[in-house]
Amino acid sequence: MAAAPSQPAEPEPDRSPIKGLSLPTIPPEHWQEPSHIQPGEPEEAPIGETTEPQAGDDWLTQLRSGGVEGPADIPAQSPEIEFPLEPSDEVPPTESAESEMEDWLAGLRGAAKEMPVAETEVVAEPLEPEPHPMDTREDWLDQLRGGIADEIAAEAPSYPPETTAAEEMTEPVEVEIPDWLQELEPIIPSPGVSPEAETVPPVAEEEAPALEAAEMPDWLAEIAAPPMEAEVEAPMPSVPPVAEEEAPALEAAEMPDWLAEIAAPPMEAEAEAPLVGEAELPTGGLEELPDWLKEPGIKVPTQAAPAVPPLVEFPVGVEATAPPDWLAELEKEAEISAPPAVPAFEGVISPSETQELMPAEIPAWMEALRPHPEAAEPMDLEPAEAGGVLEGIRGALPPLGIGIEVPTDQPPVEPTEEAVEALLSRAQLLQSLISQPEGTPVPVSGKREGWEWGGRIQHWLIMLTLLLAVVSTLILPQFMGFQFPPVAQPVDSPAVRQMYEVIEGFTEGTSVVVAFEYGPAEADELNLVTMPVLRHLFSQPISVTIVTTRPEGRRIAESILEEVGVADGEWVKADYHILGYRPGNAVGASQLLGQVSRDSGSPQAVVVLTSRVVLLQQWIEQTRAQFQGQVPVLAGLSAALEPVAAPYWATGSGPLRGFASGLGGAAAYEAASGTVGKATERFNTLAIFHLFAVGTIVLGAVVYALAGLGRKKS
Amino acid sequence: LAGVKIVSKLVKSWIPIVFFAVLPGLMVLASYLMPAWGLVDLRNRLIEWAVIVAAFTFMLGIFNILQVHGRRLSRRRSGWFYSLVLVVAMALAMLPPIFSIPLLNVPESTWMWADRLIFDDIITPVGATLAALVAFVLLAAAFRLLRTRHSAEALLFLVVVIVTLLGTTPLVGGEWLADVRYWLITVPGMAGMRGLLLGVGLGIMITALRVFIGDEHPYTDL
Repeated sequence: MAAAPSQPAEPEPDRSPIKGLSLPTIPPEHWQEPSHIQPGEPEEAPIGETTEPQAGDDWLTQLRSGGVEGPADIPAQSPEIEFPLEPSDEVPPTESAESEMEDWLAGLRGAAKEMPVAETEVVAEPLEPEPHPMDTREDWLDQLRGGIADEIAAEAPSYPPETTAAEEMTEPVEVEIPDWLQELEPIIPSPGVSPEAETVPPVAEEEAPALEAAEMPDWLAEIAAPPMEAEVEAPMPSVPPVAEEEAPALEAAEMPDWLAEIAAPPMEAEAEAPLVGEAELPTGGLEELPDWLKEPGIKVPTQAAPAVPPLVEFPVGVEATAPPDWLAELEKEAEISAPPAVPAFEGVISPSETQELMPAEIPAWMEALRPHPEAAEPMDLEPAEAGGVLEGIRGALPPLGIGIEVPTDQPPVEPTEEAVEALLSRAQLLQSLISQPEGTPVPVSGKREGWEWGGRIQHWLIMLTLLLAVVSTLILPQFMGFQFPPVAQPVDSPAVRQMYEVIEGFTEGTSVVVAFEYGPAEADELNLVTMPVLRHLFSQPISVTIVTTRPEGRRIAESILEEVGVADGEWVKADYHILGYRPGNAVGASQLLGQVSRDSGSPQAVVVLTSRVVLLQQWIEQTRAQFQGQVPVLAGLSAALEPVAAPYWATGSGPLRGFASGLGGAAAYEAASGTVGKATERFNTLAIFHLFAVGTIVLGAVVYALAGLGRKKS
Repeated sequence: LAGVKIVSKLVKSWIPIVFFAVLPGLMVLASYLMPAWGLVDLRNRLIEWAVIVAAFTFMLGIFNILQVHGRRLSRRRSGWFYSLVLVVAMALAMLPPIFSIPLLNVPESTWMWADRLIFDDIITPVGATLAALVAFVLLAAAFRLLRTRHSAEALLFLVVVIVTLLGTTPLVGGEWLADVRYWLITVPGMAGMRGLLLGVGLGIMITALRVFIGDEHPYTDL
């Protein structure tokens, strides 16, 4: 929220004091010779010295340290210093009185030491706003203040400027406004009010500031209106008067930076407060709110006021100290919202009585807040909330038990001799376990290494066996001119025989479809099966249609037909044409069968040459579906497909009428057809290779069986 | 809004399923069950369309391979050299059919020579070599079978292997091994294979029924 422009103060003597400024209202002509100081009087001791407690309790210090940083540095001045009923009656605290002071109050006052105190010649240099003595409040008051200030700020858009009584008695003089004041109050364009009017008035000892309602500390004004009344008639009973005759000026000069940033307006309020009997109370109502209450970010919880009951209730009817309307409204709201938890103190106490009664006049609510030493430690352990509506409040949420280092003030425990011995014994046991030699298990690395060597030897042994078989049966006979004696004879197979019989039974003009369903990788085996079948087919006066559902099928077919010599062989009686390739596998096979049937009528047989189960099945299925089982299917297969083709062949009545599988089937087909081809020539080689393979398998089985037996025995 | 959703569902899902899968499949199936001339002609027409579509999918596969390996080449990913070999080999293998186009006036001997060089002298030997490795692998596996498995099943497996090998090429005087091999193939082997084939056949039938009723449509992304 931007600060609302303050109303300029009228230059008339009876103008209201300017709020928002905390400088002493000393005319410039009195700066060098302050008239308020009686000659012969000793220079005022700094407030810090006069208010320094002899002894102090640290519980407030702990509370202060747990709150925001700013208030912790506030000089612990009692509010009574600013609210003496009779300024002339105000007596500086004596050492005896201070010695009787409670420790915690002494600690409260001791904090004033931290604040540098201005010298007596406060008029000779630009005065800085002094922190309000009541700003030495505890953290809980800070929080309450902040909360209520927000509410007030939200309700009060502006705060009229005020002037002090001293200012009213003097003519306004144009004095240069200090820089810090310009920064703090750039929105006070009161041309008629000189900067001096905004300074802290020089208060003599006999003129000890009996602060009016306007001097009421803002934090108290924000909380509730009743404390305002207490300001007028009675000091805080529990806090001794601290200020001397020059206390306001010194306060104004020693305002810490944090307070200047956060709450400069409260200083203005107290500085602008006219002396008792010299000024009239402003009646600006809510419009007189200080600017700091209008600052953005200040929020006022509606239920915050009841938490702090009015400390002192003042008698009604004192016009000079009557609170402004806006404070009265706040008081009503506070009273309505919640009654004070602690009964308010009623009555008027003189400063002398105050000093004497101070140690015994601690309110119950403050006494209740006084923590016990054993309870103070856990309070410090609780972290303050860093954000949200609970910002600054300690212990509102339970801290996580993980990741929070809990400090402890307990001294480290010295290990006993027994504990040391136990630790040493454990360490020795661990060392002995580590130093023990490993057990009987063989290291994994050595085992793997041995296995790798064994595996390599096996691979080399198998490779040498196969190489010896190939060289001895295929290469040496060709280059050295010798032949192995026949060690095996082709076996007559029923499937091969039936296939041969079907082809042999083709009549003239029979249409036969031959499907080349293998590629270059399988050609070395299947070519041996295909050649005797093709020779038999083309030796018949039939019509052969070559088809394929594999892209390389046509090229394979052309190659094998050329090798068989179909193109120019005199033995060829059949005519053929290559229908070609059709994609789509089963769909392609169906389309090919349909096209053949449309072109040259229903075929009498379908010969499938393949090494894949799926292709064999697709041709069997499509042929049976296309021609309702009337067209027999013959197959030239690789040796691996024999178990798959057997169920389709079975009893000879199935869709597969016959097949020849592998080199053995090819040799059997050649034997059935009475020819000697490559299959027969390689059959002996295959038999010898099979002997090598069987010998290798048996060798491996024996070796590993013996190794397994030896392992079991061990 | 509900009507729009229904129409969208019909257009995106049910119309393709019904008109491009269920109805053609049912018509082809009906043509096999009731081979009337109208249904057979319709079936043949549908099959021809399917073959054309399959040809385009084949070309699509070629383009996909070129795209994948071309991207790997352009970005120099791992194995880019093999991609280069694949692309170059594909281009070289396409040259002979391209040269055979009459419009190019390339002599037949030239493109036939290139075709044989690529197919008979490169592709076929390399393919046969790779297929021959199967024998080596199978033999090595049989050699170490008892190392990993000390069981009666493993021993029985080895016995069957030896009998089948020796029965395929029975030595002189060992023709009885051929009979044993024949029995092994036609009785226990065929029994096991029939069971497998029947299971596959039932799976195919169930899948076909699911496709026909629209419960399964692998041809779409739905």
